[in-house]
Amino acid sequence: MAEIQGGNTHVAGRRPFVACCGTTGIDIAILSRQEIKLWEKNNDILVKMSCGGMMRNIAENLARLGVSAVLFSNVGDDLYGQKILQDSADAGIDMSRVRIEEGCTSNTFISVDQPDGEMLVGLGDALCSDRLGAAYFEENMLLLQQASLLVLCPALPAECLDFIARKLPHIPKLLDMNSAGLVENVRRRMAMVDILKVNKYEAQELTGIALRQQPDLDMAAEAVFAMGVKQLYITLGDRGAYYRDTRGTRLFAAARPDLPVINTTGSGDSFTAGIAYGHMAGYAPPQSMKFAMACAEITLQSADTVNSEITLQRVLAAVESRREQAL
Amino acid sequence: MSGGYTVCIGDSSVDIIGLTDQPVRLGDKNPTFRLSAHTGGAARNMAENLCRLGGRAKLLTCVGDDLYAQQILRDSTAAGIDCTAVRQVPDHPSSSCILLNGPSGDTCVAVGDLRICQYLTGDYLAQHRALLAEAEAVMMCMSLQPDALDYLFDEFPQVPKVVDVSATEHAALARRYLARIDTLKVNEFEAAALVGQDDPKHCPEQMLEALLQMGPTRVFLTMGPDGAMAGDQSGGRVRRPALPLKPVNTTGAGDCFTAATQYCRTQGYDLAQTVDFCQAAAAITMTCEACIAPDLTDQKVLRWVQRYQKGGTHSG
Repeated sequence: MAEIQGGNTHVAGRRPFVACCGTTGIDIAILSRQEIKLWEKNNDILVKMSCGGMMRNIAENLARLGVSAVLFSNVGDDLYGQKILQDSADAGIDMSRVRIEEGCTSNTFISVDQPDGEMLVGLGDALCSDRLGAAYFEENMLLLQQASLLVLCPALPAECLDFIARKLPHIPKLLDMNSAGLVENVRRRMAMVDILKVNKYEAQELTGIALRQQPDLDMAAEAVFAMGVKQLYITLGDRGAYYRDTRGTRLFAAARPDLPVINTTGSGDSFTAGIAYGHMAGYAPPQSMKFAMACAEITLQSADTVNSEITLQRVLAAVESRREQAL
Repeated sequence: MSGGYTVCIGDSSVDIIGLTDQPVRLGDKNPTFRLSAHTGGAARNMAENLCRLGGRAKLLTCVGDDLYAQQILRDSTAAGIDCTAVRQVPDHPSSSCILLNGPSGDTCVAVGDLRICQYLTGDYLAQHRALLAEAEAVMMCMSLQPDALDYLFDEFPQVPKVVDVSATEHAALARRYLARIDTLKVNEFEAAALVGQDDPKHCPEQMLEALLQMGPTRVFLTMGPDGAMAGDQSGGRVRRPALPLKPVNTTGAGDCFTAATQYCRTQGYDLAQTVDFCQAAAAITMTCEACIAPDLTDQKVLRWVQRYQKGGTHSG
């Protein structure tokens, strides 16, 4: 892995990097000690603000693991945008390509949580990332062509995904589905995806197969491979994760039952960062799976969407302490 | 206004308003919302309205040291409010309120983080004693700490207090100071809570008399679509119907009405002139989307007063 250490960000002789293409935003979490009631003023709450956006989270995890991550995204010209640029650069993400949109509010996601941790309602404003067009990716083509891996998000406007598929056919592409509601955006574009990461609900939405038992997972994998994908990861919450590829490798990683879970938000983003790390390090599938699981577990133990204490050493230590079994 | 200024005391916040035309799915993500962040807070809004009308306002409020503090200070200063005495509390979030509305009112979530109001204390006000002693008036809502209210009313009896109760839950606190309030502004819900009346649609004339008997020099009672009333201790009584306009956004109209009463006082308007002016100012606010009308000026309000008087829409 020595080749992916270091911090050089010059284009000439630049060290291998991951191009993270997708959404950036601000997350506002509403936490309450008392039950939040609809139609009433609820004044005993805490508002917690953090940088978010699924692709930014993936890039932050990668940067904290020592991988060079360049974010291809945009922010509004508001205070949220300033905070995102500052905090993300501080976390080590290369933000030099992030475009500031004039007269635009940064993507915002608000979650309103009840005291038991259940989400009462979540809502997002993603007008900003809707402004990303093919022209933006065209402007950045010189750098994108040098990427070792493209991580993509289905919330990107369709013309961006089509442009990337057309202009960058030889660079491996990892897609994180992120939300069952986004499946329709990419259903007809799966042929461009080399590595797909979905959770159970996204897999069901994509394949139409109800995932009740293990043979269902294999059926879903076959359906995904028929769309053109070569490697598939399905995260299964507290049951662990499943991997299958077109070469016939099949893996299952159980979740650690002893793990204290503090906050599940962001663990999927971290899992995807783990897959990307494995790709950059040249890992075989079993190693990648173990690494991604360890990333997710470290994120589950943090109240934040990205665990700012995630490091390569910590993930490798967690990998050592778990074993995976082939099905 | 001859160099005089009004000190505005109370909350300032960033209000996030979310609207959608899609049905809201509870327990799920709703990606179709349009969110906008507005600089607000009752006391800050009153200060901004007063400045837009041509008055001078100095703001005493607490903000944290976060992004929202930057926004509050930047926007307030740009609106002409003197923010030099604002208290910045380290390592604390500023006030923020989030209001989410589904289509045609199918869901409404309203939450507020108002913890910073605990720093609106008597000690803080005492640091600005000279500022308070020389003010033309103090305009305030009731989100101050009890010791801050006592300090204001005990130490500066000569400075007129213009009070917007601004929430029914503050009625009990406001009742203790009524006799020492110069100008009290309430809506029908706050009036009912103050006089101990269960029904806010109870005869407004009776509620106004009951409030005046509790001691304020002047009382303004706003009643939404039912118009506004005012009364004072020298026997003045005014009642006006609402202006014949369709409201776009009623949030912030009350803050504007209260700020306008203070503007009218500095102009020496009588009670009837004051009600006409304040109603027109509030109507300008209600007919724009923002909580503070960006084009509010005293001249515009006077034009609206003339227009609706010519229209013969009030009983005189």
